[in-house]
Amino acid sequence: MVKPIVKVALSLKPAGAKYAFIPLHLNEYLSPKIYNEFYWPTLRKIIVDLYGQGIRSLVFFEGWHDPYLETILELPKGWGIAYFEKTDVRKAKRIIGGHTCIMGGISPSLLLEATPEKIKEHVKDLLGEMKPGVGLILSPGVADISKAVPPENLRVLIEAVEESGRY
Amino acid sequence: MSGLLTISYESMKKTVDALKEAGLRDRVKIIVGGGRVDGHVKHWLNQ
Repeated sequence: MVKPIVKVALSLKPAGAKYAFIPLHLNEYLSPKIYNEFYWPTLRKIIVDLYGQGIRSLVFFEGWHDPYLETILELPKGWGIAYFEKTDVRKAKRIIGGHTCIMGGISPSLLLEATPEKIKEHVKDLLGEMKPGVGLILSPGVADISKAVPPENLRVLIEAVEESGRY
Repeated sequence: MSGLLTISYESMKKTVDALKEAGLRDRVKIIVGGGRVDGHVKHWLNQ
């Protein structure tokens, strides 16, 4: 599996590609034992081989990646970006901060339901904790914001980031 | 109702509202779940 995947990924390198986007699918169904035996070694090899060729990976860890966070440390430091859907990025920072770039932090369901005040508070707390040292690529947990999200909530989100996101 | 994508939020709300309009809301229990559904969605559907 590894050779053909890496070959296809590298085929765009001459065109200037620098990142490989790797969306995963709900690994939370796998126990850590199964994940480590059957799934992780292949994914790890792909990421490592690509990194060896100068390509960083952006891996979308769909669902909860909590039980497998430590395995990310097996990758070379600076290998790429871990984009978390439901894993708390604050927790991720404690384990992989400084080793892996972290992405995520805003749940689409929060934007749907929360009051503007709650959104502002969430962003302030989140960025307050994530800014020191490693920073964060602030992003919705999954790249899909419902049409039902009040536009006011998006405006407040952007304002809150402007307010709390600067160094 | 199962919500695997965020696109499901609107449809679930329409369904809940339709049950309310039909005067059936108090006679049924609604269960929602799926990858993109959590406490926030439940709270929003109840509004």
